[in-house]
Amino acid sequence: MTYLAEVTGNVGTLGYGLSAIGPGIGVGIVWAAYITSTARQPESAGLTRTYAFLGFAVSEALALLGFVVPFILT
Amino acid sequence: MSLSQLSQAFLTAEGDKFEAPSVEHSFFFDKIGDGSVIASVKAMVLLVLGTLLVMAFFLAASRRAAMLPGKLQFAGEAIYGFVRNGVAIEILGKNGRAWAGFLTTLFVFILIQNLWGIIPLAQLPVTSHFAIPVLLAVMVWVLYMGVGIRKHGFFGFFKLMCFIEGIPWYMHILLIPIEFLSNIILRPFTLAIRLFANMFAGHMLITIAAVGTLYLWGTGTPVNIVLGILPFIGSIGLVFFELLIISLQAYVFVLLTAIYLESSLADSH
Repeated sequence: MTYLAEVTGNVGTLGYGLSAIGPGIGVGIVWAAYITSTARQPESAGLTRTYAFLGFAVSEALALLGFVVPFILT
Repeated sequence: MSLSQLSQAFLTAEGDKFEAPSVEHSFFFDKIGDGSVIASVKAMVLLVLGTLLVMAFFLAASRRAAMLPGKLQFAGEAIYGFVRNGVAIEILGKNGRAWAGFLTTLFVFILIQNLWGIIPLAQLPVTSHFAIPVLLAVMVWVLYMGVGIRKHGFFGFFKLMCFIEGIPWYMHILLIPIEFLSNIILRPFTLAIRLFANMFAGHMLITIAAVGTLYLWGTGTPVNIVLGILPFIGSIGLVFFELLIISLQAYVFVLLTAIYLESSLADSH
């Protein structure tokens, strides 16, 4: 069997790269929505900030779980 | 010590091949004994020093409270006011005033322990050692569980956490495990890992940029010296980026603590 390409080193780092795609998009959407809402209704900035950070934290959680995997699987 | 010797000290013995700094090298360079006890002397010293600094700052700021605040009192009141009005009262409402002291202490403590990462000579964020965020997250977990159970009773609290009203009954089969997992199990995990991962990755980034600069300048060839300017500028830029991340992570940690406390203290859905 011939190999076209080979990956050396810790494969978990690739896993982190993959796991960062979704949260990257998600965090972008959260802040985009926050900026849009603030632009449309500047008074609501303080009101929606809590939810923006909450949504940011929840989306980011998946990337964080992916970040830990390379260290666990060394 | 010349530049090339300095870079030699940081790099491998042969010196002609760049080797990225390892986790061992960047975080556990001062292990106690044979390494069976995972403890970093520098981190412990900075931890105690930071705690003492926080205590000294707030004692000095509140010692002689005057109607017309001095500079120190103004700084202390600005930090306290920021957390009390921006986080505690905004999220916890009428309970906010009671929790403001705890949240401010948490905020300033995390901020100073993060800030050690970019203060010259210290340059090791204490929160990048996993034990510190874990301790803080466990403390927050015990607190919001305790507060919730005291207010709603044991079963009342778990009903509040896991049971969503106003949905078809068959959805509960799916939603109760998810809610239980996310509200009881995963909250402390993400809280600890978020702080740890951000500080760890940030410190690693700065270290790689700095060691790369030293390596390129240490090789001594003109091309490498010119190329070394790039990671040099990058490492300085990263320090300012870290300043942003440091304050943001301290803020997010306190904000999430307040949100979790609010969810425990809420009357009902």
